Amino acid sequence: MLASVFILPLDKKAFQYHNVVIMLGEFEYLLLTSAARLGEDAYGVAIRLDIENSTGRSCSIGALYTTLDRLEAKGLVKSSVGDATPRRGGRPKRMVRVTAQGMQAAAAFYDTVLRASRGIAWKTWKKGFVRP
Amino acid sequence: MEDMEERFRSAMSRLRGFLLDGLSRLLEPDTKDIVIGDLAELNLGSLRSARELCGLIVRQQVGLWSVWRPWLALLCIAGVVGIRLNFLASSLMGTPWRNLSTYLKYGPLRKSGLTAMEEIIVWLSLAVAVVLWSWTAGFACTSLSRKTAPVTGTLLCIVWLCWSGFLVARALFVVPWFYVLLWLIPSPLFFLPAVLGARRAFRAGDLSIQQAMGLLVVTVCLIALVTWTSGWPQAALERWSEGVMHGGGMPWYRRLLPYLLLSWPAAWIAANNARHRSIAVLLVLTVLPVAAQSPDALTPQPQRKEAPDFTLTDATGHALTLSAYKGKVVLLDFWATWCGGCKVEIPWYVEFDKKYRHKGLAVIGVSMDEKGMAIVKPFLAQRKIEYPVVIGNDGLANQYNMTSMPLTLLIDRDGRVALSHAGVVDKDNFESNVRTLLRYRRPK
Repeated sequence: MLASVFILPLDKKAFQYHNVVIMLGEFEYLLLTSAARLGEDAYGVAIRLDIENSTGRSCSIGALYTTLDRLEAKGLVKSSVGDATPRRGGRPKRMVRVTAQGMQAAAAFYDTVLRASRGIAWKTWKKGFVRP
Repeated sequence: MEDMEERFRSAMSRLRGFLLDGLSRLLEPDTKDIVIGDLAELNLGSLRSARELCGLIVRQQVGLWSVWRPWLALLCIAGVVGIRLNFLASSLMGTPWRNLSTYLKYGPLRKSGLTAMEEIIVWLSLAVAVVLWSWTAGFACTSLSRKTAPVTGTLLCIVWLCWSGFLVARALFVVPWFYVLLWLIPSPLFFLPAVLGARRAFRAGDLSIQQAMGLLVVTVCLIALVTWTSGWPQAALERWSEGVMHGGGMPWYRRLLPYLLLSWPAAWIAANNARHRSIAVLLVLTVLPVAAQSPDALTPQPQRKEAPDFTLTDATGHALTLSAYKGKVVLLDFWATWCGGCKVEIPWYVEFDKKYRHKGLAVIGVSMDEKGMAIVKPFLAQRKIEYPVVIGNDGLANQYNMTSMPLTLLIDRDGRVALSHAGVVDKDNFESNVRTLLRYRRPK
């Protein structure tokens, strides 16, 4: 899997928004994607389950919240305190909204992956191995 | 049977709830509620919940410790300053006990050379300083650590418990148990103010500019006071030994350094709060001249010893006898042309000679140059030294206990040594001592 990618603004328009280099990790991208997909229903547990469903891997609370804190510090998401439900023992939720900057960073990450993968097709060769 | 199982299950669930609640206290209050809510919604089971919670706490702590501030708090404040203060407070707490037990056993035999009042002042000034330093250390440590403060505190407690364990083990074999008790009970002088300072930082955050500056000013004053009073035992020893033990103590700047080390958190707090950091730096620097006032005190009149008399030839070829100067205040300066510190002082003595000669001051230079007048005469001409200078010898140097140069003595109008200073003198302090001696008139 990809570890982390430097997103560099390539076209002139993008450069106006990205006047700083944003480093986005793979898990950060997954988290932004899930939060964007869930929209207004994006909160801790929902994002966690969405990531687990889409990747097939488990996602710990530790990884989720430390990454969310990091993204928030970078200005890519915004958090707010949501409603408390009886199912949660009357405790509030942490609602997450992707900011415009977060969307640009995720789009730039996606573009980079596509550009980097141009002209290549990954085929599974044997269990546990891959070759181009 | 079923009833028993039901009770066991409910007890276990209570225990798990208690465990989770305890663990979640290490999180921020708002994060804590959200995470506990998430765990309840996911219904993961208590073991997995505890594992997830631990994972989050560890990740958060690793993130918090990835900057330099908590390390500075742990190593430099809790470590260096905290441990030094704890030792200082423990020894301070021990001093009255030791004095009391010595007194009860042997009567008032202890010869520190200080009067009871001086002993109390020395102890009190250091005790007040320790209280202030401890409060400041507790405050600065917590305000630097912020969210890592509980971990720093826990680490300190572990270190303290290990140390106590070592002492208890030592007590069983080596030292009497009551000494261990003195060490074991955390010295209230250090422990309480540090906890109060930490609590203040936790609850109310940073100090205002006025408070921070006030704290710094008080700290600076206390450092000066402690540096000054810690010189008393040295002076007392000199008095008690009738001058034999002179120069054995530490100079003021060496006494000052450990106190400056203990009080850097106060400067840190002020610099952090001040709009103009240079003000804080200036305030800290004021401690140096203030502490430099730690003066040479004149020996009280009844304890002054007769100055050893001598007759030597001066640069003009006339015999100079010290006892002939009785009725005048004599500034006797042992120097040499190769001694750097002496050359610093000589212009001052030339100035004193001009200023106070008519009031009864006689400056006499004793050159210790081996080549004698051959080298001294050109020097006198070059520096325009008008006061008499004689060539000294080892016998004279021994009589005046000269171990290093420059050595300057003030001899009163009765021909007794009122002050003996090895090293470069403090000009203003020395001049004021000269004036004090000049004011004294011999009864006719």
